[in-house]
Amino acid sequence: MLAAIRGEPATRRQVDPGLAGGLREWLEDGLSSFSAGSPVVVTKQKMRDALSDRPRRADDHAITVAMALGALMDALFRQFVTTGRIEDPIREALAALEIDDRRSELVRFVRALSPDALAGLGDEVETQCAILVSRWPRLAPAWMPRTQESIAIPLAGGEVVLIGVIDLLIGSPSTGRSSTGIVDAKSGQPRLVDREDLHFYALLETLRSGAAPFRVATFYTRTGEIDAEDVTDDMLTSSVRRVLAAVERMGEGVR
Amino acid sequence: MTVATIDMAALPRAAGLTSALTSPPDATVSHTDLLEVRLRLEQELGRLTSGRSLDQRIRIDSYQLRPPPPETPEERPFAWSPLTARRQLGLECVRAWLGRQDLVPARASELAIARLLRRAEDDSRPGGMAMWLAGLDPGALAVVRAEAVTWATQLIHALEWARLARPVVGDDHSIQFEAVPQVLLRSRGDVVSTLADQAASGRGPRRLSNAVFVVMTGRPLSTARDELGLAALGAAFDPRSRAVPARVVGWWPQCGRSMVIPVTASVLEVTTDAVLEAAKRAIAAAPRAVPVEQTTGAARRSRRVARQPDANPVIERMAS
Repeated sequence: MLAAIRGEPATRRQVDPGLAGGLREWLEDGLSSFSAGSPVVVTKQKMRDALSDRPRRADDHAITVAMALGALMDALFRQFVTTGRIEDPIREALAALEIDDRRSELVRFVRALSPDALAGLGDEVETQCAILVSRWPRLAPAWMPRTQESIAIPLAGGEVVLIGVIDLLIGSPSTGRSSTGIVDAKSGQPRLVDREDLHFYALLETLRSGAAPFRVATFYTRTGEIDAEDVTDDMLTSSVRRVLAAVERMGEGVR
Repeated sequence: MTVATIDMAALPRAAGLTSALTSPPDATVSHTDLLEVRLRLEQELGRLTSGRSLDQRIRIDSYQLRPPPPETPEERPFAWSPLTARRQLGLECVRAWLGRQDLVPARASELAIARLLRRAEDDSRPGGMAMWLAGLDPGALAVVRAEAVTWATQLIHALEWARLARPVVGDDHSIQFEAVPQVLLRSRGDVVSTLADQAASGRGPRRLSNAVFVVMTGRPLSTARDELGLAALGAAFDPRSRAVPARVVGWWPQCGRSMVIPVTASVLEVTTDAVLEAAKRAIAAAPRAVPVEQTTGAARRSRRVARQPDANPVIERMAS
């Protein structure tokens, strides 16, 4: 697991000093004529929605058991990375969500589940937590792991804001060579779009810090598997194209 | 108001931020200028609060300097949360790390929280962070700790600490003018560094001997300069400060941007204007103003009273 996250240190790239600026200019050029009246927030989910050909339904964003599972496992992943301990998974995960006002709707959803549904959710949380604890490695303190790091990149004079919250960021800021890694934890089945989410995060981190991360990875708490890849220029440029395509679709929706 | 920026393409970013923070002072604020700004602020605040009872207090901090959103939700009283606690705990982590660099934030946060929990056993007054933490489930405590770790790590990574002269972590100021007791002015600084020439000689002019670094949230708003100016104003008016900061460096970790404000008389004047505007808004929305007495128990406990030579303000300083 550590090797997958770390990649091959010898192959970590020198930072191209013009890359981050070039990506930003590309985005700025692509958004130069964009105007929606009020700032458009672009997240990985909003991009997925915008680029999906499936007609949207009114209940697309209604809370589901799968979403609740994802939120609970995100909380447990964060707790385990930070403290190295989980004793009562469902209780601790719910407490982690309850302390955040923004999660109140989700907590109410879980509390309102039928006894059978709640038991089923609790069983799955227990199972995934056991996998998390057995598979996820203790990270060396020198990796400076930090969780739920929020990135917000304003573009087009603030008309568009790219936003991401990275489950786990490791490594110190670059001094010339790529030095940070990104891990996203997911509780569901692997999907192709998971990698696109990671590429978006890599783009955000590049724009923010001026240096691309060396590695991005998705850790699946359902199976304990990790899907990791080195960050490449192609990955970042394809993410720029995807952002521009999504914002264009969002603009059509606004107009 | 002069605003400098830092080359965003140069790596490491911490080198640029540290250079901006530690370069020799390029501006001066005379004692006379400072007194004039202070006198104007006191007089204007006195005029604005005239007829207002002493218990109708308003607090002006950097948040109040921002323009109110179009649809302002009902202001809620202060409550501890992972977000409101993260800076105070994060600063504790950075202080611990500065003393012992093997105490990385993940470990330092555990020690800081354990210390507060022990304190809660001896001090059961409600409203303080210690009591709040003592009532949390382990899952919620983990969130609090994780937020502090992330915040502290960002601050540690922001600067090249070995280049800072006598860095002080957490330098907040609360100013209450004796003539205008209804108003509490609060400013915050996350790191204060003595400037190189002063550190080297140990002498030199009494003022303009340090620079303030402030970690900001989100992205720079149109009021960013005023928010940073407030850090200078608070330090300038605090009699316990040994110096008016020569500059304030603001850094927004979420978007990677930064802003450098050399502190001049003009900066203090413009910031004073912004403070007065904020005071007008707060007074207009008087029922929503948060009385100073409703600040937390931790704030009350940490409040220290000091007298200026002219027997003026009550000063509060805490790292929150």
